[in-house]
Amino acid sequence: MSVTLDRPPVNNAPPPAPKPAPNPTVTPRRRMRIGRVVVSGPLLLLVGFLVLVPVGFVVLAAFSTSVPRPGNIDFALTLENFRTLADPSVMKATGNSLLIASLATLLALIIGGFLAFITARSNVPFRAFIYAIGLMPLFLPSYVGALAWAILGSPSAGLLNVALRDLGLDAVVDVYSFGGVVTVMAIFYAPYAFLMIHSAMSMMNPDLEDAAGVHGGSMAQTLKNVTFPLALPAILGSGLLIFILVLENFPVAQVLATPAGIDTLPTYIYRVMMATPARGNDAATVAIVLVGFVLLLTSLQRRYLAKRSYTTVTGKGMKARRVDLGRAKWPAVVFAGGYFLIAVVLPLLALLLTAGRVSPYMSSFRDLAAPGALDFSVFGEILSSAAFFGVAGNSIFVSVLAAALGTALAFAVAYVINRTRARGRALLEGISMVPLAVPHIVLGIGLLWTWLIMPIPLYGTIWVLVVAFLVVQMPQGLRSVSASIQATHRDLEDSAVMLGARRAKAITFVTLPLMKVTLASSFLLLLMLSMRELTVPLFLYTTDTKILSIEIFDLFENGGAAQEAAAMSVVYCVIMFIVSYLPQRFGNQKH
Amino acid sequence: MEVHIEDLRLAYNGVPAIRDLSLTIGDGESIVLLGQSGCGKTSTMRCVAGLEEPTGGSIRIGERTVFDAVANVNVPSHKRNVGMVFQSYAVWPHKTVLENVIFPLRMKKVGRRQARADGLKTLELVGLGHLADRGASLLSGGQMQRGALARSMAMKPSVLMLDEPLSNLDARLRDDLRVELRRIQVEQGLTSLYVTHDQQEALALADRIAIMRDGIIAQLGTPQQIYSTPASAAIASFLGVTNVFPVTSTHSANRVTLIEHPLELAVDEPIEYPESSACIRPDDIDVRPRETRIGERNRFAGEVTVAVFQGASIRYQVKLTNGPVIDAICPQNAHGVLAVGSSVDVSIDPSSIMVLPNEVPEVRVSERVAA
Repeated sequence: MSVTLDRPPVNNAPPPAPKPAPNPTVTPRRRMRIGRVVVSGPLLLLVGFLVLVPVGFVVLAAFSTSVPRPGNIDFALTLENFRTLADPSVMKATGNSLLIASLATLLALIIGGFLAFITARSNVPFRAFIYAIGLMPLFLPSYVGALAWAILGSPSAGLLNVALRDLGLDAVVDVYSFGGVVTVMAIFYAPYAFLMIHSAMSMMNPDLEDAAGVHGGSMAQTLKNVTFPLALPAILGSGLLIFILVLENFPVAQVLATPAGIDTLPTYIYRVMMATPARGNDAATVAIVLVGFVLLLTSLQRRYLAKRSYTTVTGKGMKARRVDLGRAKWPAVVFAGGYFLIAVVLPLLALLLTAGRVSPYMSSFRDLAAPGALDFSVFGEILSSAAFFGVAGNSIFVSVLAAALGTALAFAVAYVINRTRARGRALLEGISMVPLAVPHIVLGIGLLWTWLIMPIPLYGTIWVLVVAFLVVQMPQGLRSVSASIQATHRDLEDSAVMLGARRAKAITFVTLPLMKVTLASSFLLLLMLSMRELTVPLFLYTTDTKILSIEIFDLFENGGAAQEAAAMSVVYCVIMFIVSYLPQRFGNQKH
Repeated sequence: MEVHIEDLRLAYNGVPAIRDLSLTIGDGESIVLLGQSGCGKTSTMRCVAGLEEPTGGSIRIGERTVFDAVANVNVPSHKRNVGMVFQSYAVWPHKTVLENVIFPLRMKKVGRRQARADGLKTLELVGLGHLADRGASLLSGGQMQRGALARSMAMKPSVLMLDEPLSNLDARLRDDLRVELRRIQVEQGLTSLYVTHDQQEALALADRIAIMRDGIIAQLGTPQQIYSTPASAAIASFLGVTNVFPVTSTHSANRVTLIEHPLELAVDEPIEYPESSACIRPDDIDVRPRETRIGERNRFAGEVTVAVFQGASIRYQVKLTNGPVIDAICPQNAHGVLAVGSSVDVSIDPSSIMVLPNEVPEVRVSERVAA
């Protein structure tokens, strides 16, 4: 006691490492105390720097008179910026965003929930194929889907409208509209609802439903009283998730809503940022509103998911009972087929057709019959052009690096959070999850300001994209690696330590090999997310550091090069499919 | 109500799980299906409940045929009025205890108020009245089990089925609930079919026990009959007879010889079937310190290899000289606990040796079931 009173405890600085004390009871204790800061400290600094600085700049810009720029970080605080919120166009954008998100969520839940129910719990024919249909749109980045639908459903030259005219019908499909945005969003987010509801429905303990059957409940009453109430948490949980995703989605809204003069919060922020002169402070203020909505919803979702324990999911692998659809079988198949058509088949066909069409204008499908009207040599041109390889190379370089670094960082953070008693673990986890609550459009602005200001000359190089992706995907990486660390029993590692290995050795020889497969699938998940990311790099790319998603977006936005853009989208979809298919394969090997 | 099961057959992907099973449960009778896992006992129960569609045979509950493969009758589960307590309890976690219990009443279109009153009465019966409005997911294991029982009893089932309802509870609670289940069953005169792999449970709860092996009923009888005269060595072994030694006959009808050891046993009953075993309960074996007196019938020299003090009794494993290791349970007596390694005499009364066929010959099965 008296010793500690004489000398104030040195907490943060590790004492000069003496020779290991001969007394074995001293060494481990001291090492543990040091370890409590040594492991978490640097990680906290790194993650805190990567995440909090960009977010901090956005917050600062919302409350100050000018935007942060090199050599001038302005701390002249003001609330003046918040006047912009009273601007009718901001109010309108807010209203539009909320309405689009609500309707799209509802529609996505109906589509996803119905497909989940028929594949998990009914005797619908082609079950395996319908299951695949439910997932497939995940492989298509939402803005590629939006671009394809722009080709299909533009009121004058849209392929669907050409077809309708050919058939002599008077109807016009207009995807540049409220309904168009809602539908396309719903189509591409329905797989989230499908996945969550499907797993809730197929993992439900069938005894619970059998019990209703035995105690006098008919099939319909069982569904109403037992099955759906038990799936409700998954339905609401996925609903909230989709609502958030739609609310912060920028590309789809930019492609389909902006031409129709409909603003959403993300497109409004983008427009204000890109205006000359850029109104960074206004953008930051509106961004704060968007973050506020997302935070509110995320906390709601958390609260809901926390209560989820009552679903009594058992891993017993018992076969769930299947509802006999009877005559409703075929309408169900038609519904699934229809979804497949509008979510996957039509968009891909539209892209292929556009890539192969020689003349950009087509008044009737009969034109295609003319000799030389179709020519797919554009694929050859693209695949042999240096420009494409530059852009694709950039994409792959950035994505592979961001995914690898992201997985490594996620492992370090997840290990500290789950396996050590280091100080600041909760803080570390909290900060790592922050990007989840910040819409990409906002994160993009924050990252732009950060790396313009930082004395490290990263802006303008490809490395700034790597760092940006690392930040954006931190939550997804951490979640997936954390889950697999939790699934790896810590006794396995501890027993290696008991048998004489140092901790680092035990991690290298026991824990990491055990997690090999799951780490690989985390890596592929991050790779896929990086490959499809568009919003964040939109603020950070320069002509030398263009990546695929940006290039496609640019080509379409600026018009003119629709053929190349479509061809590139097709190639891009193929790459995406391969990248997303691999984790599936890896995931399946576990079982 | 009476339940008739006739020639019941069930196969999963061509693999038979139940093979021509016939059984009659009398009105108010409690029958326990006892057997190892995979013997088809739960499948039989699920067939009666209508959760499984048999591949052949017929099932009658009271006067109503609920399943008949030939006549193509298959009444759906919810119209059979059969109660069932699941092994996992299957108490709905999103409803309160009372809501769980009144579910079958509401399904029968009983009015809300009446259902509530009846439900509360049933909950009182199982001792859960004070928890009626609690969320079912907050109950402990024992309470869930009672809740599941109340839910099934509330529907006044024609037959109540229980699928290993006590297997997820700890030992002490299991003993208490076993007695209580029997009390409720007898008081309410419930016709019941109970599935378990625990012989103690079977002995305590059954009016008759049906021992199942490989999808057929190997033996059917009262608990006393089953306990005192198991039909085969396999059944005896399943019922806790730990000393089972394959034997062949000798020159004398009153003596058999162990196949695996050069040892002869004096027995009261001769060998009836070519493949038989001598079965001896551990409690019927006497172990005492070595005495000089030798030559008595079935008295063997041996050495204690394991001694386990169990309170009221002591359990020994004794290696017989030139013979097998034998399992014995001796009451506490003047000898105290004999030390490991001490030389002992083991004696077995010839009348306590059961010479049984290794497996029940199929012919005898049908006779017994018919009888």
